[in-house]
Amino acid sequence: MNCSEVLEQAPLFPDLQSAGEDIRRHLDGCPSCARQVAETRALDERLKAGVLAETFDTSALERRVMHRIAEESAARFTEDAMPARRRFLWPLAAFGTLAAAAAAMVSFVVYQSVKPKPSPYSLAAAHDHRLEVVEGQLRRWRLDIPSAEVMASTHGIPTALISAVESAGFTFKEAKLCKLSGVIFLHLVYLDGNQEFSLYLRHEDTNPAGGAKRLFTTEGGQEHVAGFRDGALEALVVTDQPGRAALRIARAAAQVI
Amino acid sequence: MVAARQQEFEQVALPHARALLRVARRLTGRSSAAEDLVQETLLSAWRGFHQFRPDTNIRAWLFRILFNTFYGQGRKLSGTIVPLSPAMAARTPSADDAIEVRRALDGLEADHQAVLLLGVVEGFTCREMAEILDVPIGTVMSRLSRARQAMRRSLERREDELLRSAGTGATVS
Repeated sequence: MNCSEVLEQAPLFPDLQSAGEDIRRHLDGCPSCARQVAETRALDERLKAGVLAETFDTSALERRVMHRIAEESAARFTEDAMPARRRFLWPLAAFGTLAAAAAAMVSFVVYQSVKPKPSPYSLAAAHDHRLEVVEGQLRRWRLDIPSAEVMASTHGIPTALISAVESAGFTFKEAKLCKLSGVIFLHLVYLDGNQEFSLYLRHEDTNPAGGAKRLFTTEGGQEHVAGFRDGALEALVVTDQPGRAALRIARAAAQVI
Repeated sequence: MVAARQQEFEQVALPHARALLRVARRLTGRSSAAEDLVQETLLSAWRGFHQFRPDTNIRAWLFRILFNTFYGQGRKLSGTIVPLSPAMAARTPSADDAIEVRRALDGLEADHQAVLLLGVVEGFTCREMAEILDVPIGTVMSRLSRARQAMRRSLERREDELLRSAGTGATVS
């Protein structure tokens, strides 16, 4: 490959590991191209950091959208339920409309009031997963379950959970302790098929035991986070796979934990 | 049944609201217009959610709807420059690199903004961007290359202005 082909194609890959062998070989032997590609990556990082630094609160927007969806669903329900002879049955239809709208409103309000809130550690977990698992920054991982169980037991996390997650069809890969926003979590990495995902666990002494597990999902950068609390145990699943995958993994983990 | 679908939609689609709003904010240049655009996008997605296949990339699907809605509102990407509003310019501290970067991005042509936001910030592949923007993949690749050059020039211009203003004691807004 010549220099112009390399400079055109190298920035199209998320990292040089995923670029072709011929691109990597060219960059190894061409300092000028290597410098320009590095500059482009630095520009990309700066752009990404600059845009992601702007934060948005979408909670009001999300409430508006779900409210509109509830209204539209109620209207459609009534339309579908109306027979051809609707002019003879208009009082019933009108009652149906009002009842369906009221039911939708009530279910929406109830749902909003009990909807599980994302963990405050979600974004930190997404960032940690991106750096340590996706980008593979050098860290000291424990590669065997007994070592992971020792770390779990010293932080109040039931040791049996680590193997229990494997019984849900995932393969243990590695573990270490980490801090998310200053709070210690046990960071476990499992394989779902050939895709890695992170499971962050922590035990909070002050949280009362008991209560139903309620799943939440959210996103952080390119990662999807799903999680739940089970009494004093908090669990966060992070994956760069679609949000549906995060939810499926968290649901499977919740069943065995 | 409907409630379960609503819950599923909320779980799989709404987590992307922030990313959609981030891109919409730069495309429209105004917070209120961006929120309207994302609201319309999510409502369109809900109306088509029964046809959504579980193995499809919902993020790419939502962004495609976002851009379709944006085009449908009569906005043209090609050659459109999103101006900085006076309010935005007034609250731009020159020392903050993140704000400098966003200002430089806001000054680019909108089709360049689109590929930088989708490819660099949101991490979509060229193939996914081609589907979202409904243009050939070759167009995406050449746009991405030109957009990076434009972004670099824009940042260099901003930095030159900063250096000059530092020399004269003037403020940059």
